[in-house]
Amino acid sequence: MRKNLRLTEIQLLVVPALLALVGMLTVILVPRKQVSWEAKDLWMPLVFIGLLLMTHLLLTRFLPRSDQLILPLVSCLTAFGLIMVNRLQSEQTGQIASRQVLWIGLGYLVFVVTALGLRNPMLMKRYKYTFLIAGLALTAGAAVFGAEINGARLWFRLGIFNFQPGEFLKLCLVIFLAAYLDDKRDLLQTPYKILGIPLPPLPYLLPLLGMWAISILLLVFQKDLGPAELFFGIFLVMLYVASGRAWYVLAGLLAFAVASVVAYQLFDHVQTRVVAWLNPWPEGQGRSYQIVQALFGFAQGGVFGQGLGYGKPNSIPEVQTDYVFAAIGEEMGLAGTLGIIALNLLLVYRCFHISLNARTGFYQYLSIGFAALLGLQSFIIIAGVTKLIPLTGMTLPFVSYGGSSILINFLIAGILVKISAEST
Amino acid sequence: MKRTIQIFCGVIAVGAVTFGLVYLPASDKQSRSDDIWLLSLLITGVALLIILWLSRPTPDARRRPVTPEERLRHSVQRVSSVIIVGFLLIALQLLREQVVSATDIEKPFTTTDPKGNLVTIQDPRSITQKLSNQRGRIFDAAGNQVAGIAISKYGLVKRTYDPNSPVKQILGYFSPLQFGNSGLEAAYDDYLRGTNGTNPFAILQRGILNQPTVGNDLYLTIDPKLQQVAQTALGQTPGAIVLLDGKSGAVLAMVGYPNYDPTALVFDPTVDDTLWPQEIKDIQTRWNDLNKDTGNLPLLVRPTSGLYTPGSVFKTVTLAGMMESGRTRPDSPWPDEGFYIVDNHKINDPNRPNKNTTWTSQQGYMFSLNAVFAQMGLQLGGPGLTDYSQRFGFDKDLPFDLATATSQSHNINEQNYLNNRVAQAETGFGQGQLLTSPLHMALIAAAIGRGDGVLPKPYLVQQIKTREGGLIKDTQPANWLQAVRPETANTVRDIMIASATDGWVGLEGGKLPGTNSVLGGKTGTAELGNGINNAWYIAWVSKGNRLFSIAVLVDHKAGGEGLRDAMPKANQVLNAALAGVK
Repeated sequence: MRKNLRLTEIQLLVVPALLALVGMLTVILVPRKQVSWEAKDLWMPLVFIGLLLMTHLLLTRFLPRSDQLILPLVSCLTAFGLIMVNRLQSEQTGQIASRQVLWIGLGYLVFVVTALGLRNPMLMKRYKYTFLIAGLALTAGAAVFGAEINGARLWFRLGIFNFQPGEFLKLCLVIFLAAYLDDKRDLLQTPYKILGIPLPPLPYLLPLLGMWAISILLLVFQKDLGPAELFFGIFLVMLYVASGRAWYVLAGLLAFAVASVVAYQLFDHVQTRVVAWLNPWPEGQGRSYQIVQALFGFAQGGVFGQGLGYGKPNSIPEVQTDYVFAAIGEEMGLAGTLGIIALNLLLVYRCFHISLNARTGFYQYLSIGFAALLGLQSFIIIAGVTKLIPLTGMTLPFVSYGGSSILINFLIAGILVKISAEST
Repeated sequence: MKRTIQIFCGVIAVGAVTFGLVYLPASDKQSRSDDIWLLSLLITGVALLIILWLSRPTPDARRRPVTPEERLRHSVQRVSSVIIVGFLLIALQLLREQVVSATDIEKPFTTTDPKGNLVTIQDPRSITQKLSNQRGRIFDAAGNQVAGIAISKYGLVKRTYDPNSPVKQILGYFSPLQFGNSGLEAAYDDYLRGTNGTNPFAILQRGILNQPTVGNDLYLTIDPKLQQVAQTALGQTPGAIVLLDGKSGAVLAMVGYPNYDPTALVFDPTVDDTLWPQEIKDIQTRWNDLNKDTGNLPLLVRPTSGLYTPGSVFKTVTLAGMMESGRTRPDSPWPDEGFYIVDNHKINDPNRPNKNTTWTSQQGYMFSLNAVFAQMGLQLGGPGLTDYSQRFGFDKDLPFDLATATSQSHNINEQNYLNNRVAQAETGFGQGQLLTSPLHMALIAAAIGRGDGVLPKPYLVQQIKTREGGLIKDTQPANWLQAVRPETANTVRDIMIASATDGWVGLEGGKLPGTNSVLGGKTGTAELGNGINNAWYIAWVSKGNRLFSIAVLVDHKAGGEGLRDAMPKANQVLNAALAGVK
């Protein structure tokens, strides 16, 4: 009986619960400059704690032997997101906090439904082409029929909710790649020779390359380079893991370098990003305003930060989505930013752990794909806002404000938990 | 072999990061280009990848069968090493941006934007921080608050001044957003801001609790009564007055005219912020007006930074040099027929009180005889004049709480000037290329009045205290230069007394009757050509155990003559100073 109690998980869940409570109290009390509050001020963290408990109890009841770290790690990041969205809510942003709570609630629902309701995840493998076509079709549909926000057509407007099929496409691609590579793994691993010269098994790589090209094209035409980088990275990681050949990766990186140069020549917005990366200061009041404000924020943060509520992160435009990490850097300092990085690393490593214990090849590739997705996405956006690489717009998984992103990420977490429950 | 490569790569990685963090070239900091840093990060990343790559060799299928699990595990390990290196690089980038280079990033950056306009990029957050710093206050010697602060309900802080205090003209301006600081506000900025002199734990605590920083207070040596007398005495005459405590070097009064009111340049953040742009524009206009006024130079702090030809007051230095080197005694005779000719150059001497043609050294000083001092200048020669003026602080940086101009024995770009005999003669009586400041001349008077030949180190800030009154620093009097031996100083002191009793100074109203004091003084009228003159008076007066020394300068704009224009102003100040001594 004791074996089925998931004690590790419940102990670790204390951290995100306290984080949400204390963080929310700080955010509420700092502008008031006095220590007095009512219970209803704390409805958001209380709802959040309720969600944690419910999820925990359901997992205990139905999937007692599944992984116990995924939920606490994901919840910690979500708690950060909840605090920051409350902190950053202003007249310009509108009511983002209550919407974020709604998304988080739906996210946990999706998480539970996926983990408990997905009776046989192997079915996903069978429908791999369905996923691929659905993802591509939705993205293409958004590009043609969708709403244009900030100069890019990426969204479907569904009532109050803007759905971003690009997020869904990421998931579809990982499922498809995992299934496809699992089918062709033996072929990929045997050298393919023509006249004694070892070559990649081209007939089998071609569909992969085609799929990759289509998704990149779609995204380039949508002026959204971040997801293109991400897809490409996921693709290389999964290909490497399935084939075991490092030179595929090197060839891929070379192709990426060529594509980057071409994109730099062709697109103004790519040039803007590169200029802002190499030296944003001369245009600090023009094209590079956002990144310069973020750098000021980081510099103000120092080791322990200005303190939640005491910084001025709202001087960074769009801080609640792409630049939420800069807001954390300003108000929580190096301690906060390194904390977020550590949480992301742990999450990625937990995915690898699940992969190594997974029962089938498809599960292994799937969880490696999700590890690459979460790891690369957080790397690309964090490295972008810290000016380590040119910035490409993307959400920080579980932390940034945004409905589609949160739902898809919780869906991924749900699948991971289910896979871990299936493992030997 | 493998281990060697790994160690080598480790050294490269650590070296590249250290180089990037610590030794980044100043030019890079200037241009804020990150090329070199990013390159060092790239090198670090590659080196780390090589280390991790080598530590996990690929399982060799030719030696033994490799299971699929083993193959997967190996691939996953490699992917994770790439990911961990990536996040490590982010952590290094954050370390640099948030800690190591944070202060550089926060500095305002001036650059030309693509349209060619000059723009300053500044962090709006640091502006609020600067405005919420509770800057230290400044008090005069009587404990009156000269500069204070006013805090708005949003915690923004304004510099305030006592509108009636005569001391505010020497404080310097405080304009952290626009023009920076000057004067005491600049020299003691670290104390006034509270970064210096405050307990580091208190700073840390305020940081954590998000309390504004509290600065430390300055207590000046300026006596407000004497400062007021000096200011009234100078009035609207272009010039300067410096009154020192001759024993300690403490500045008791220091005025200059034209000057400016620092209140005009203070930004007031306590008003509604919609009014800020207009306010900044108004301050900018006033600043431009101050800078455009090249005729009056109101921003020039004349007592310390003004340089003027000393004229006859320099004869004190010449005489001390002659005595110190044993070239003359007070009663040594000199010929003077009302002029002196050196190398066909005629030097007029209109100062003789009668037609006598022989005068002693002492009389030469008492009646300010140019012919006598021209001969002394020739006897000292170029090296002697340079040497003795340098012993009195010429050509040396004058250490003080405010920026000071360096007095010169001759123009540094004309090394051979004092080899010329005419130049030696003219320098002997204070003309030539000599330049000095009122503060410096007051120190020279003090060195004689003390009778020990020591120029004290002048100071303006007596104490620095925390807001609660805890003592941080108490200035102790110190010596700057030992100019001449005490015996020489005493001899010159007696001659200065004679000058103030039976010389022109004494005869023309320089005595201070009824004060029961001992006075030594010397006037000067420096000729700048075309009938334009600087008027000078330097003096020291001792009573009881007090010694005051003073220098008064009347700028050539007011024209004038030492006896008529400078000396009466000094007498007003000295009388007021002596009134306070029992």
